[in-house]
Amino acid sequence: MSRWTVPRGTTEMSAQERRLLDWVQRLEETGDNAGHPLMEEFRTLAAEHRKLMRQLTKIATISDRMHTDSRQMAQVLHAAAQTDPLTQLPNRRHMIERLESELGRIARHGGSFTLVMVDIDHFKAINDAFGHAVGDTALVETARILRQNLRGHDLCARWGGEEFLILLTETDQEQAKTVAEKLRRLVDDHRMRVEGRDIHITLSLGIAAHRPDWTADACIQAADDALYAAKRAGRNRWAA
Amino acid sequence: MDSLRIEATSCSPLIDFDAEAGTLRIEGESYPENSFDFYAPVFSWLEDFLKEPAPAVVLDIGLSYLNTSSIKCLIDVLEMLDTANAQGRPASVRWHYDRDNDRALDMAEEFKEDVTLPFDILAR
Repeated sequence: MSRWTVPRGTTEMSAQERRLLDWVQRLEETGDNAGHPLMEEFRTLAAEHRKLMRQLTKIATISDRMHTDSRQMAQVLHAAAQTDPLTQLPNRRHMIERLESELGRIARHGGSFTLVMVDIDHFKAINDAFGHAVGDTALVETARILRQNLRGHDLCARWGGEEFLILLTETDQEQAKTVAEKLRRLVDDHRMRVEGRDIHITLSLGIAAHRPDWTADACIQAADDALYAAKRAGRNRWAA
Repeated sequence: MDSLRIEATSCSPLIDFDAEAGTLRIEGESYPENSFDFYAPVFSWLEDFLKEPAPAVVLDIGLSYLNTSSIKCLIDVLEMLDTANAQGRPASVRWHYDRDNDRALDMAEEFKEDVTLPFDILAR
């Protein structure tokens, strides 16, 4: 293989390499340079230089692949870190991040949102009576019903064991009551068939509309308080 | 000649070079704080090893992550073997990659591209 044949491989010759080759050729064609004793030295130097150029390109290409790989892996991990593995709903961490960004948005551009804290009634009794596998299925089913009956820009997260937290964007307290009643009724009307048994579950829901000076914690606390009001009032209902 | 063994750490690969058998192994992840320091003993060992008359050399590589300076070092290692091979000292490379990762295969191809010694890319 002559020194100046294009090396094997798919990497195309760069403009920089081309300039180097042209340079050597120009020198050889000038006067009687071709026979000059330094010409051979110069060719060797140019070849070394070209090898380094190619190596640099190669290193950058491989390094880019590594970085792309790592970035994609980071994205997958980020998504996993924000998702509840059982229900595939966003998890608590995701909800807190979204709540903070929603508060930021409202502070800048105005607007409102309402939180609905949802709890499955007597969930412990379901677990105790039918076992945890049935309890898990009830959680998954409930999560599906909640998610399917909300708008795309609302966020429904698994907040804790049998608790879900729903963020309704651009929604006031009155509109949220309609949503809460719809979700309550859908779950109440639904019969889950799990391992040959009919499981009937009901929800209690607490509604709290955001108020201008509230922190994220204050909003959540208000929704939680409303939820306990609904529980005390007899469950399978919402309170605001 | 002595063999060379450097145990793996969380950020540097296992180096296991057996002079007698002519088998060299680099395995793990490579992003040491200073790659050139880390690979310096590898280079000097290889240089001595390739000077001596010895049987064929097989380099087994199983690297799942390399930082940029480690890529440079590995290219230099491959080049040393490639030069030895071109000068009549039989040397070959077996690159092991994770079959679930398409990009790992592409990367192996990149390393293979500029050398002429036998270079097998094997899924595992």
